[in-house]
Amino acid sequence: MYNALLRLMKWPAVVTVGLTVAMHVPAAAQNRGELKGSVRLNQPVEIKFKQSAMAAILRDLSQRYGVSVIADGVPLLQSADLEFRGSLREALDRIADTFDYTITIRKTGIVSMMKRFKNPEERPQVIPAEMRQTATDMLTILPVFPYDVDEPPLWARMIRQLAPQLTPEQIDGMKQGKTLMIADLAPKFQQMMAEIIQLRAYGVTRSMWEQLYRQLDRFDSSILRARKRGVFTFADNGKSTASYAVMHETRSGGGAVTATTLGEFQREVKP
Amino acid sequence: MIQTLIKNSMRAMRVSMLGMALVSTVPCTGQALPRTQPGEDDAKLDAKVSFSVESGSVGQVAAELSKQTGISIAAASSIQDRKLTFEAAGITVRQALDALAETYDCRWYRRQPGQYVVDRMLFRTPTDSTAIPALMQAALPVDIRIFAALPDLKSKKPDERTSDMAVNKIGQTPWRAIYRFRSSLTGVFTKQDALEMRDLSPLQRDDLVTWMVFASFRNTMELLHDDYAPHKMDMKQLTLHIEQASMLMIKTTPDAKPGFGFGTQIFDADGRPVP
Repeated sequence: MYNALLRLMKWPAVVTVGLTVAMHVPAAAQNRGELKGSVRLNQPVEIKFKQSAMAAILRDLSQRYGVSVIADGVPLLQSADLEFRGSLREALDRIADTFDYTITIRKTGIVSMMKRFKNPEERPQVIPAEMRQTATDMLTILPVFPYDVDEPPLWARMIRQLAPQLTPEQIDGMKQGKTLMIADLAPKFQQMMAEIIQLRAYGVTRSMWEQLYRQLDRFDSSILRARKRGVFTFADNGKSTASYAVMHETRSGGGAVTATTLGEFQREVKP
Repeated sequence: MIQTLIKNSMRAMRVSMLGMALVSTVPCTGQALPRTQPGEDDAKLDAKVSFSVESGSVGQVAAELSKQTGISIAAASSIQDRKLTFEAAGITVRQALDALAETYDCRWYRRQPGQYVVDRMLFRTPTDSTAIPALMQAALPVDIRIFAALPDLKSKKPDERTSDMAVNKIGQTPWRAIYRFRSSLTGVFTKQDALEMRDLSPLQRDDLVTWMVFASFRNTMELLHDDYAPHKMDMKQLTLHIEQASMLMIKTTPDAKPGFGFGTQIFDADGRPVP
C-alpha cells in the first residue's frame, strides 16, 4: 500500500518534468534564435562589397537590416571584398572574421565587436589620457612600495645582500645542484625572502606604472631631446662621429623632470 | 631598510587615501565599483536615436547623443579619444549608453539632472591581496586584456594560450614600434637637438606611447597570469638554488619547469661575489 502511494506520488514529478521540457523547447529555440531585442538575427541578408572598409559595411548592414553595432578601434585591414548570402548572424560573423574581430550580441540586440588579435600586426589602442588613468588606477590597486626603476632593482640587491649570509656549505651544495628549502632557513632569511617576493611581484610592477604615469602626465608638453654622449674620431679617415642619447622628458607640476632613454644614434660632426 | 621604506610609503599612502576619501563619497569596497545607475527622472533617455559614427571616438558618440536628445552627455577625458565605429539604428539613448558601458567595461551616470557622463570604472585599494590581479585586469582597457590573452573577467574562462606565449607576445610588441619610431627620428635629430610632442605625427606619437606602455609590461603580465603572485605561493614549497654557477634563483613551485622562477647573479665570471 505504502509502495503504491509512493509510486503515485512520483507521477506529478514526471508530469512536471514533461511540462518543463515542453515549455522550454520553444524558449530555447528562441534563445538560440534569433531574436535579440528588436533585431531578428536569422533574417536573410545579402551583402556584396568590393574593397570596402569595415565601417562602410557595418553602416550598410545597419541601414538595411536595422542592426546596431559598436566596433572598437579601426581594423588594420583597411578594406576587403565581401560577398555573402545567409542570415544576419552569419553575415556579422563573416565580417568579424574578415577584419579580425570577435562579436558579442547584447540582450538588447546591439552587437559589440572587439579585435581578436589573430593578426600579429594588430595592436590595441594606446591612448595617452586613457593609459594615464589606467596607471592612476593601477597605483590605487597595487600595494605601496618605493619607486625603484634602478638596475638592478631593489629585490635583486636584496638577494645579493642575502647571499653572503648563507654558509659556504649551503652555497657549495647549491652549486652542485642541490636545492635549499626556504622553510628550512632561519626566520630572518624567511622574512627577507617574503619581502623579496613582495617587491618582485608588486614593487617592480608598481614602479613601472608610476614611471608610465610620470611619462604620460603632461604628455602633450613633453619633449624629446638628443643629449650628446661623446665624440669619436676614426684614426683611418679622421672623420668624427658624435653619439647622442634620445631622451623623453616630462616636467611635473612641481618642476621634477622624468627622463627616459629611448635609444642612441650617431651623427657625423666636424673634427 | 626595506621595512623603513615600506613604513614611510604606507604613511604617504594613508595620507593620499585620506585625501581621496575627502573628495569622494563612494564607499571603499576593495572592488571595482559597479556602474552608477542614472536617475529615472529624465525621460529623454528613452528617446530613440539613429546615427552613424564611422571611425570616430567615444567623445563623438556622446556628442551625437547630446545633439539628438538635447540632454548633456559627455565622455570623461580618459575615455573620449577611444576610437570606434557606432552604427545606431533606432535604439534608445539608454541602450546606446549601456552598450558603450558593456563593450568597454565602463560606467555611465547622472552627474545632475539632464547631465550624463560616460566614464571608466572607479577603483579602490583592495583590503585583500588576492583581489589584486583581478582588479588590475579590470583596470586595463578591454582590448589590452584581449591582446594580453588574459582570462575573461566575467566567465573566468582561461585563455587557451599559455602565459609564456602571451608574455612573449607582449615582449615583442614594443620593439616593432620602437624600431619604427627610432628610424623616424634619425633624420630629425641630424638637424635639431629637441623636438616637441606636438611636432610628432600621429603614428610617431602612437609608437612612442606603445613603447612606453609595453616595454615594461612583463611584470604586470606575470602578476595578471598569477605566475608570481605572492598570494599563490606557499612559503613551505619555495626553494633556493644556483643556476649556471652564478645565479641565485628562487623557485616558486617545486615541480616548476626549468627556468621558472626568478633570481639574480650573485657571483661574477671569476667567482667573486657581486657587490
